[in-house]
Formats: sequence, structure tokens, C-alpha cells
Amino acid sequence: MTRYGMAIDTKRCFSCNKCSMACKVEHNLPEDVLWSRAHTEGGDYYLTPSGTYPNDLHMGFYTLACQHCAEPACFEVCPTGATSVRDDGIVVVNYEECIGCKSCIEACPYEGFVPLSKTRPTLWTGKSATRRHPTFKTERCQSAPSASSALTAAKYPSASRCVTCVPARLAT
Amino acid sequence: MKDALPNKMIMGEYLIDIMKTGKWNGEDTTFKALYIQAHDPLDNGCAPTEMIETWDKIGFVVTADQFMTTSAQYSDLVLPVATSFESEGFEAQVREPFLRTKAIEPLGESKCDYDIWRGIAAAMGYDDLYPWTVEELLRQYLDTPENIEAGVAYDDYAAAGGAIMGEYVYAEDPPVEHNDLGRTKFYLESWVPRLQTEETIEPHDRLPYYKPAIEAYLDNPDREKYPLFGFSNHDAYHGQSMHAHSQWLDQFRKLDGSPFCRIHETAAAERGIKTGDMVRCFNSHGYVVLRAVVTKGIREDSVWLPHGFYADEFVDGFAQSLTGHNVDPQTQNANFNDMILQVEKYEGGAE
Repeated sequence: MTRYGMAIDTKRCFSCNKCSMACKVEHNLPEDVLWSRAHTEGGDYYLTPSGTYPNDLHMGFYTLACQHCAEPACFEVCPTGATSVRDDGIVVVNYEECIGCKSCIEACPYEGFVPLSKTRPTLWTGKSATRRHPTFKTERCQSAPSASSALTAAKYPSASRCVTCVPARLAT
Repeated sequence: MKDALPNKMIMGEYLIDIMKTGKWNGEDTTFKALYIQAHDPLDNGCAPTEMIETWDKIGFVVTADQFMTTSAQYSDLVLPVATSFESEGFEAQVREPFLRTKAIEPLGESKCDYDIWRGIAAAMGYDDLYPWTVEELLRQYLDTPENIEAGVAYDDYAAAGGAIMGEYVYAEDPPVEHNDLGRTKFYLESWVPRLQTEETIEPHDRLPYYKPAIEAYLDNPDREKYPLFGFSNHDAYHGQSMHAHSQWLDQFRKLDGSPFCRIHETAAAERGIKTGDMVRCFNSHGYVVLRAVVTKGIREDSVWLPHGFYADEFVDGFAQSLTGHNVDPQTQNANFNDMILQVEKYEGGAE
């Protein structure tokens, strides 16, 4: 069965989070929701290193989003069947069937990204991918960039906006 | 046009000197009004404390802007400017130039910059100064015989919805300039200051040379009061202030709702500061109250300050107020990272 994944060269990532911001713009996510985020592997806070100052410091980055697990915990606990696994392995949520119980969020073994709005979501513009019950299923990630990024899309016809927006791609 | 005077180009930073001395290049010079457009000098420039004093001397300050910047808040009059979605224009400073079409009419009383000039000119009795509409102006710019023949005139862009997609041929990046021996060229034969200035060009100005900091140097006696060095940077989240009050960006640049500084763990421990605490950074120029992030990833004697927020995003004061009026006479740019400061834990409430 086809399995999709996102390949990220963590040696090149410097946690600019432009991919996270592009994702947020692409999906018009509520203010406090991030479907993907670059995290710091180092100190206790974002962009701080671990180790001993000054010559033994360590800081790295990794991005975290829905992993579209082979055996998704969110799928197992969904009481309404809103969460499903497509034939291509993409885990999706049918918003018409979702009742917002947050069971999927609780069951998800990954922490550190913000898939759910704690309060009624505040949106910047009109219709959002998450207008009812914000969750973290990125069905649209495979789709072509939106018309609003037409110029970028012309250069990178097969890439999602999260890819076209990051500076590291220029070196590829 | 009658009554027209020759234009004098002066870097805005020099307003401070002119209003102190009444002189510019030896001539008596003063200003009775200041019109600020497409700029937020208090949030982006250096020495905002002295700039505010300068504006007080000028007496009448007008800011035309899309946003209520700190500069706009300090102005006597604010003229609302329509956003790029509400006005027509041509974006030429990009690789794929495009005609910016108007999505909606300007909201409220806002107008595009050009229409504001037209209104002011007409009110002052100069109806003939800007006789064209925005579209007429754009047609003058775009409808050249060459553009019409190439299919990139106004009507072509308008028919294409603004952007004409095509096979663009980009100019090569400028090559590295080298001297007759093929080596990197450091000596600048034709070096001139950025704008008119009294400064003369010395031989050393034509070559790279070391210039000591004006404030941020080790032996500065003022470091007894302000022992730490301050600096900021321009990254995607701390550029100019056009992205102030952006809640999306704030997810990566604020801590519990407040901008933050970065301070080394040793300097923080000496002051009883831990990550998340409110701290007051101050020097002789100004002060700011914001949160602290304690890190090993900075020099023990240095503090990183955020750039690009409006003053009303800080609990009190604002970060740029710690910068001084230290303009380089040749480039006529300010020294953003030439500052010393002290940091203390902030116990007060929001003012």
C-alpha cells in the first residue's frame, strides 16, 4: 500500500518555521492552532541550546506534524467514525461527523504541536479547513498550491506551499 | 509649477541634528511640518527618544499609514492609507512584475498615497500638480511603444488579471568586482556619501577599516551603570515593524503574550531572573519592559532585544528606545547594535 511521508533534512532546518506558517496560511487555521511546527532539540525553550557554555553547546531542530500512523490511535478511539484511513494511508476527519469530543487528540502519542483550538476558533478570513472542530488531518497537503500562490506554483508545480516557502529548498 | 523650490534630500536621522542646531550644510534650516509616508521611524529607526523630542520642536507631524504604528500614535494627524487590496498599482521591484488590481474600494476614509497627495495639493491650490488618476498614471508608465509591442502594457496586464505568466529571462547576479590582478576589489574609486552631507571623504573611507563602537566598547566608563551589550537582528519574525500585531507570527516570537529578550544564564542568575520573568532593560536613552528567555546560546555580557514590535506590544517602554543617535556619516545609516544596557527584574505592573 502507498505510504506518504514528508522528507525533511534536519541538517538544513534552522527552525525558521516558515513551513509551519505556510501550512497555517494554506489551511487558514485558527490563531492558536498549528498543524506543524519546528521544535528545538536542545534547551528548555525554543531556540535555546543545551550543553555547557561556551564550547560544548548543542541545538538541533525537527518538525512535527500528523504522522498518518499505520495504526492510528485517533482512528481507534473515534466514537462516531469521523476519523478514517484512506486507501493511500492518509488519515482524515469528516467534519460533518465529528462531534468535537477530543478523544483523538488525547489518544495521539505525539506532543508538541497544537492541533486543537482551546476556545471557539478565531479565524482571520472566512472559511477554514477547521471551521467546526479543528483537528490535524492534512488531506489537502497533497494538493497543488492554491491559486493565491500562482507565481510560486508556476516554478514548483508539484510542491506544496510548505515546501515552496522554506529557504532550505533553494539549496536542493 | 510656481513657488516650487529645489528638493533637498536629507536622511531622516539628521532631523535630530537640524532641529538642534538650526543648520544643514552651513545653511539656516528648519522644519515647521513633517509628513511621514511609508515609514515607521520610531519603531524601526534608532534614537526614537530624541526623535520624539525633535518632532515636538517641529510642531506638526503628519503620518500617512495603513496601521496605527508607534510613529502614527505620536503624530498630530494620521491619514489612513488604503491597503494594497484596496488600491491599484504596479509592483515592479519583483522578479515577475505584476499589476496590482483593486479587490474592493478603500474602506472608511482611507485613500491610496497618491490620492492623498492629490487631495492635499488641491486643498493648497495646486490642482495642476497631480492632474492624473491612478490609472492614467499607470498608463503613462506602462503604455510605452516597446511594452505595447511586447504585450506587457496596461491593458495586457489588466486582461490577464494582473500577472502575465511567461518565460522570464533574469539578469545574472552582479559579478564580484575585482581589480586588475583579479583579486577582490576593496578600494572604491567612486565612493560618495549616500546623500548630500557636509562630510568630506577621507582616504580611509575608500577601504574597509575598523571603527570603534561609539557606545558598546569594553572600556566605556558608562558600563559601570550599564554593563551589558545590547543587540538585535533582522530575521523573518523580527524585521521591520510591518508585521507588528500579527498573532500568527506571535506564536514564534512572544512568550506568554509578551515580546522577550535573551539573556545568558550567568547574567540572569546574578539578577535573579529566570525564563518567563518580566524584566526591565534600560540605559540612558530609554527602557523596555518585556519577558526574559534565559539561554546559554548568547555571550555572557550581551542581551538580545527584539526588533519590529510597536511600543504598545510591550508592558512599558519599547525596545528601540535603547538605541542612540549614532549615524554613520558616509552610509548615513544608524548603528542599531551599538548600545549598552542594564537589566533588572521587573516588579511593577503594566502602566
